[in-house]
Amino acid sequence: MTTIAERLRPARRFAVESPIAGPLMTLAVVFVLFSAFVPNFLTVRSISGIINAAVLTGTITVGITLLMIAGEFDLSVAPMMAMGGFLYARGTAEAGSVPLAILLALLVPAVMGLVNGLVVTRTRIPSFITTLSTLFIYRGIVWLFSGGQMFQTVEKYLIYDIFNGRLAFLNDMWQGANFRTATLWLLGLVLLFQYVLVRTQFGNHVFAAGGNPGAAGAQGVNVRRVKVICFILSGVMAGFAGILLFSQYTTVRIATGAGEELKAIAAAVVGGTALTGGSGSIIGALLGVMIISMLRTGVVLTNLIPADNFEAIVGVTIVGAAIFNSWIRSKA
Amino acid sequence: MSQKVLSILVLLSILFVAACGPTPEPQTIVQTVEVEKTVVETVEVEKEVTVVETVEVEKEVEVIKEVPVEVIVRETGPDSVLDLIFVQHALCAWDSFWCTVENGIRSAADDMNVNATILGPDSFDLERVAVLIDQAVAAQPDGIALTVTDPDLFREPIQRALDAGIPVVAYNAGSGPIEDDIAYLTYLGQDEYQGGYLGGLRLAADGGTAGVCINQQVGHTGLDKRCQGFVDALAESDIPAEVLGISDDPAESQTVISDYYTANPDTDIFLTLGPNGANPFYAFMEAEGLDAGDITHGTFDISPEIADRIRAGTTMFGIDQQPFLQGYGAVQMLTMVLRYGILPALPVTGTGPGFVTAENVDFEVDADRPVDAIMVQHALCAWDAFWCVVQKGIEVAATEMGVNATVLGPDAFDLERVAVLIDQAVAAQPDGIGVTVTDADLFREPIESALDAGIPVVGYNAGAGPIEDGIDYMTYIGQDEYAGGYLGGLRLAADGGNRGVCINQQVGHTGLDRRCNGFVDALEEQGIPAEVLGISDDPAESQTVISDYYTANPDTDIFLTLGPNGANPFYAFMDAEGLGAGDIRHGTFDLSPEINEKIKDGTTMFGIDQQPFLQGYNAVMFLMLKHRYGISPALPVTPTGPGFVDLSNVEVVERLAGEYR
Repeated sequence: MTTIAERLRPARRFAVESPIAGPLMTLAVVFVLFSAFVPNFLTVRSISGIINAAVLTGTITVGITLLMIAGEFDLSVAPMMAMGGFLYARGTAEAGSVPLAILLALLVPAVMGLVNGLVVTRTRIPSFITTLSTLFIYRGIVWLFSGGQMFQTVEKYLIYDIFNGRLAFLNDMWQGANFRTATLWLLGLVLLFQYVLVRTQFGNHVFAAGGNPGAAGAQGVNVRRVKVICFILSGVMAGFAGILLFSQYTTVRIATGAGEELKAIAAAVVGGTALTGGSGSIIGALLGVMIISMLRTGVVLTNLIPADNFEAIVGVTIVGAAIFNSWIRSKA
Repeated sequence: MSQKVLSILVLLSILFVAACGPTPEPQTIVQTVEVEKTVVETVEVEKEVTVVETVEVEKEVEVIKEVPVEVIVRETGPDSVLDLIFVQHALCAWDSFWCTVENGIRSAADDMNVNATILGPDSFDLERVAVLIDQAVAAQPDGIALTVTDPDLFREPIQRALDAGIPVVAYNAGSGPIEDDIAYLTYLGQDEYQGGYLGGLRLAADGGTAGVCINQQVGHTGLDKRCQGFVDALAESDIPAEVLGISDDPAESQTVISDYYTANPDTDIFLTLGPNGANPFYAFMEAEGLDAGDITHGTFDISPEIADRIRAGTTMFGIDQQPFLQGYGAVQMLTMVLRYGILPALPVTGTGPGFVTAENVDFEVDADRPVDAIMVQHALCAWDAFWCVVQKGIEVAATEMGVNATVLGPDAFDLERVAVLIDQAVAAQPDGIGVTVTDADLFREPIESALDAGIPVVGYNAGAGPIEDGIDYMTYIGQDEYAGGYLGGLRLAADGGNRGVCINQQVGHTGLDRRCNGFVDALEEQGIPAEVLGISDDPAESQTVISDYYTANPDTDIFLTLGPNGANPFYAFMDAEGLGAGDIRHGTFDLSPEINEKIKDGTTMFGIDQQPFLQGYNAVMFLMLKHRYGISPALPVTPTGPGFVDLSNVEVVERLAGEYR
């Protein structure tokens, strides 16, 4: 006969050991509280809105989280996203070649990520400083590439609907629903990255490179190579975010995505990823993005504070979530 | 009986008119136009214009009203030679004040290659002016400028011009389209409040203990506004100020001033509102034994006595309404509208206050004086397409006015380099410098070195005006952000509404915040609650925020976005929500292909343009006016926007996009 405590042991182990336990609990609490107290929160319109708002940040967060687990930062993702957006935009709308557009939109940010990775691993300049400077440099490159002009088209191509079109069959079921294909892309990427992270050797190496690079190196892990690959993946994801962005809004600007890097880091932290590297989860990061998005929607919906000041509330809650996560982890 | 005779006369004259040519009415009209034009252009002919008030003419006017207007309104564009008619309540022929106005009209017509015809009565007679407006409309010109001396009397004739699709601006007399309640484009004249305010700032610049505004006609709206501005300016420097009423009797007025001074011996700042106030004031000074060192004095207007006192240093300045600029500016405004679809930014366009000081009181006008201008800007057409439009404005103005203008800029965004370029411009000793005041702190020294060298400087496109920037350049030529939000708000709320929201993509950005403030103020004046909603650079997130706000405030029906960055997620929100043009009203700042489409399909009421062409054009124009005519821009900020682009002009704007727009 097992005691209640014994029966609860797996749950307790999950709570203290799984990196996604903290964010999952936070998400559940916020969701239940908002559903109970915030008018119009538990509606298909609000839920689909929360998901949509999380898509661009979420895509970037996937790459950022992987990189953070490997022990590095990337502050230069926003101009990469803009660059991806511009290349995809001009490729589809001007050059008329969809494959080329997609290829370049992923490849150029990948090269930018490669540069970040090489500088960080070869010079040992902290990635915080390296990518802070490439943030400005890449913004300058976007600026030159765009000629200082916003790019916008009023044409609609099929490819735009594939990447970020309306899911009509879902939306027809509920009034006010606005589910989009981009959500499926993000979901697919999260599962893919999560699988790579926990089920492959490369994933192991990522944890090792971030957790204890010295020991990892001693075990034969090529720490430098792992980190460079993570930087490249971070760039690719940023470029992909640019593709998703342009597919719906058919507009890309030099400042597109400004501030996205910090939101992504915040989301990763809320989602249980350690700032010091070596620990974290892609799914947790997605939950982090969802928590922040949910908070924003909840705050706007309550109409209690001036609508132009909701970011402050979101900020306070990010800190709260981070504290909660580390408290849970301290119980381990 | 007499009615019968009249109707026979009418019939006969219609027959007569019809007999003039085989083609129907439009032809005859064109002929009358020709006649009037040749008639009116010299002064002697003015009398013949008044002769026009015979029965036949009245009937011609009648006939013309039956002609479908659209057939006759001509398409105009950048290269059109324009026919403009000016209708004013007085003429140079019998009131010398108007010679300056007419000189302004002629100089501008000459510079801008337009045909200007000036109409006016041969004595002060407003009924006749109203008739002349109708005649001007009948002549089907490209544009009309007029003095709105009596809005009630002129409302109908002006409305007929507007109905005929003829753009109208007012000059010298009027209060602007809103106060006059006539939908003409703008009124060019003195801004009385700003005259008092800016005068007050000058008088209080070196401090003081107490100020007084000597008003010869308390209750006169224009004069009261001058005093109000003066009192407000002094209050900002913590100097108490009040208004002293005097009368038309100079002896009595002198005593009143003297008594006031006895009662308030610490008064050391005096403003008089014209020669009628200045004259007894000077008598008071003499009697009291006061001179320049004891007090500071400024006045409105210029008279020989005031000019002498300015030279002697007793009087700091005389405020001029700059009638030349009223004429010149009226031509320029209409030309901008007709050639480029560029609209005046504000209901009132200040031509004064223009300050006449010891430095410029003896300025000699020379319309042929060569002008070398150097324009220093932080970006160039070569690498930023926005600037091609600004530079086109510079180029067009320079060609039209015979100005030698050089544009300088860095190879890439580099403000340090721009500062160096300003220094180089100063070293070249031009007659004027235009600068984008992108960084007031960084550019302060170079700009001040230009001013010290006696070179006039205007700011364009970037800046906040001489007062806010703390640099004493002439004016900043650019968008008035607050007015953009305010006037946009008035348009959006014109048919009422429940709730408004200003969607701001960068809360904390001064310019954007001002737009929202203007919008909120305009709506609240109409009793409609309004607030600001902050969004971000992430359009997906922004769309959800807008959607959530709308869910929480479903009665919101007025939306203002501050540019394509806000409009873009807003349209996505409308799309997702299934909202259409009939459900809500939307206006935005700026234009983009998407916004243009939405204006055309009626979703968006307007896009507000800062009209960069006008920034370049006006910068050159003001440097030229300063150098040749001694005329200064009236206000610290000379707005080029808001320029509203709506269904009526979006196609013109699109056609000229990239070059003039």
